[in-house]
Amino acid sequence: MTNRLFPSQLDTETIFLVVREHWARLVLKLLIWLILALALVLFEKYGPNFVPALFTGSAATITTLFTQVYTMFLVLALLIIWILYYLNIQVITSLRIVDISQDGLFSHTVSELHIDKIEDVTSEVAGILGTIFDYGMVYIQTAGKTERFEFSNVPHPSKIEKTVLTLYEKNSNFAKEGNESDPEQLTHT
Amino acid sequence: MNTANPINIVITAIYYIIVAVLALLSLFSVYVLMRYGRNKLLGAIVCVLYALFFLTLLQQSHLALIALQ
Repeated sequence: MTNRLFPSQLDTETIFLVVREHWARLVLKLLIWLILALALVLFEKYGPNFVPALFTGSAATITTLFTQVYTMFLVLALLIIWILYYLNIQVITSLRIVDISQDGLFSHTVSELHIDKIEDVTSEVAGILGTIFDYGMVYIQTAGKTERFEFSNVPHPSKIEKTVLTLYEKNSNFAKEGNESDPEQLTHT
Repeated sequence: MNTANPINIVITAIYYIIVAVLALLSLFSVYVLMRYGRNKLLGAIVCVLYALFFLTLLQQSHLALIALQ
């Protein structure tokens, strides 16, 4: 039995693409985390020189307590950053597009769009970092209840756009001619 | 506990409230990871590593709290 990427995944379904947010976006978040961690390190290293009152007597114990709790915050923040990066994926299969979205710890959304419901696909690369690292948005216009699927900050958006359009055309041809489409290799992004 | 100093009581109360919130968030993060994660082994490894870090920090902070009192 294959390791399912989403609950309703069929055994006969071919996975073409699994997409996560570009690593550059994760690095940005980690840089912010690093700045906060560095603030703690600098406080502990240079604090006694600038604010010696915080590091003597009972105040020193309170300062130690504060730094320990702050460190616990940092470790938890790191875990949450990684969990949100890891759980947010988009899957493109031979039958549909699945958007698994973890918006914070308390919101988990799974959206599915059947390939034959696609009306339009648009890719967009904007900004300096997006241009350098080739990541951006992919918008999939649908005929269903959800008007537009959005893939945010995904790598190689034009490649994803082409993959989706190719699948749509194959699906259309299959519907018209009743031919079976050829299976393709699994690709991870 | 040095009950003569009300500041210690306030600091202790604040500490326990913050730690309780952090612990709850940690537990919920672990639950979300294990429930929605596709690779359970990876999820378990991350959870164990995180638990080691968190509990070590918790122990050190608790020792600091005891030293305060």
